[in-house]
Amino acid sequence: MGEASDKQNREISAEQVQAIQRGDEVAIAELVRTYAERIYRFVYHQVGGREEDAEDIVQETFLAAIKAMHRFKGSARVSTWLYSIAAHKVADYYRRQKCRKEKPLPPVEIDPSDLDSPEVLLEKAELREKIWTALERLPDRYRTVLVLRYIEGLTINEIMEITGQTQKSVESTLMRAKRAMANILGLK
Amino acid sequence: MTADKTEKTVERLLSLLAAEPVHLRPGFQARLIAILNQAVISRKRARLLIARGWAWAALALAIILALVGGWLVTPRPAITATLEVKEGQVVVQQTRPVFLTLARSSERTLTKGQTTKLAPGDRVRTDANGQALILYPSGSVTEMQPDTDLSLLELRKDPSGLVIRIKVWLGKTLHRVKRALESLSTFETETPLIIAGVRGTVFRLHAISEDHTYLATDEGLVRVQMGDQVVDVPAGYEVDAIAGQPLRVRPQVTIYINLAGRPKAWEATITTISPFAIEGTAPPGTTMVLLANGEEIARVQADEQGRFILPMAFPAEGTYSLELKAVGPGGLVQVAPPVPFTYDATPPSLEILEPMTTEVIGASVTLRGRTEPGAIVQIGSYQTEADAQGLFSIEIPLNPGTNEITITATDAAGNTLTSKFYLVRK
Repeated sequence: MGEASDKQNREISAEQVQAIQRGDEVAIAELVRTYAERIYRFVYHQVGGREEDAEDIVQETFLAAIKAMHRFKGSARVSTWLYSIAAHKVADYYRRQKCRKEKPLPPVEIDPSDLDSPEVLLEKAELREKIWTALERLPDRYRTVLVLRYIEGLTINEIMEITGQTQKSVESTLMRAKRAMANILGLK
Repeated sequence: MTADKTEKTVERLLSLLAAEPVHLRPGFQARLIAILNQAVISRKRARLLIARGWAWAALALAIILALVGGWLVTPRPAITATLEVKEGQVVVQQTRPVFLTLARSSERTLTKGQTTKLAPGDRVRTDANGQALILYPSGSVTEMQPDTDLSLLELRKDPSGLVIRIKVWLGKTLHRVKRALESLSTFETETPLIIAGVRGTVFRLHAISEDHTYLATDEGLVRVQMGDQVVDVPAGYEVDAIAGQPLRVRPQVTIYINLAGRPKAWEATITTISPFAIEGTAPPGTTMVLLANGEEIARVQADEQGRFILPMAFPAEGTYSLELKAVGPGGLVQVAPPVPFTYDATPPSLEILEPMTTEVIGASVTLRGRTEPGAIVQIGSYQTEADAQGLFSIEIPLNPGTNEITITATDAAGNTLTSKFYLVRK
């Protein structure tokens, strides 16, 4: 857990940022190794676990980051900056999905009695699908803060950094997001 | 379920989802790194291309600006004169600025009726039949006679007015200089020998050679400078500027010798009898003096129209050298070259050599005789001229019976001798 947590919190150095700005291949590889998995997980849960879509969004995120790296001043952490870019890319993804007029998602409901032993239920793909479906149905800003807070385990401060919101606003968004998700899941 | 509990349930669901291991598929990171590196390379190339594009664009712009700027600052003649060909052919050498100090020279031949613009530096040559006009913006005109070569040295405006400077290398020109009302124009004509500066005048210039220039002023005043010498040539006067000789202004005089109503040019060799007169024109009031062998033999003043008549009578026959002089601004000056003159008052001799008898057979007879060389021999309407030995022959018809023959010999001076005799046709 400690090693995983270290990996989770690791950031590249300012020198590496400068090296990326110069187009250094080694530094770019280090950027990918440091952040790709985190960003992938952040995206993966937002796109209903569709691996290919998640990979496409991660790729877009890193390409955008590389393109905009010369504007990165180091006032924020690279990870929060990448989360921010990824959140926008996910929003773009959903805008495209709407444009494609895909079929409406199936109804989502969870029997409250199943929640007594969710660990067991989670073994079932069905429940996982239902959570992803509920997340997909949420507005972008709700889905983003929920995933950042409860799946990525970021602090309120970190989420403030990513979303550019105030603490109150983040907390309020979180509360509304949870209620909205509960509604979608049929939790009463 | 309370709201708080519901929220906790959502949190719990999400945290359970978080506990699920999520890993990138194998090879994704490597692919992503490759894609990013490729993107970086592409961007670098694009930037390089853009930078090169900008560099080329900047270079092109700089070249265009340099060309436009250069074109704008290229000196061009602000004022031009117009050359108009009146007769024959005229060769024009022109130099025109192209870019900055670069200029293009050209030579072309214009024919009657054609015109072109003349700028300083241009040179114009008329051929043996060529005549041309140069019209200046001030209204002044230069007339070029055949075989004349001149250059337009200067044509510009300065604070005092229009400045025109031309150089007549060779040939005859006439200049009508008009002074602009609003500004005083400067009109200066050079030859290899002199500089003529004028303001509002008409004058003729003949660059005879590098060492000899003739100038005559018809209106106004021309100031002529040759080396350190400066003279003013007023209207009606002229000057022959000859290198190494003093500039002497003299009246313009036209003269001829009037032999009893038969005018002959001054240059002709004259053999005549008295009386005769020397006539001509000169500036009104000019005193004309005629000299024979260096001695003054007549003096007269030109009238208000400038006409003068010098009546002549010689005391004795002989050959004289006649000179015509005038009292000019600088004293007595010769206005015409000496002309040889023979005063002959003796009638020609006349001797009939054939027929030797007064009786003749046939309807006509050929008379042969001797008189003065060149004398005209006339019998009635028949006439002949004696040869260099004075011999002549003339055939005349005869009537039957006695014929009265009147024969007249007239020498070059106009002296005559008439002889009468009879021939009898048998």
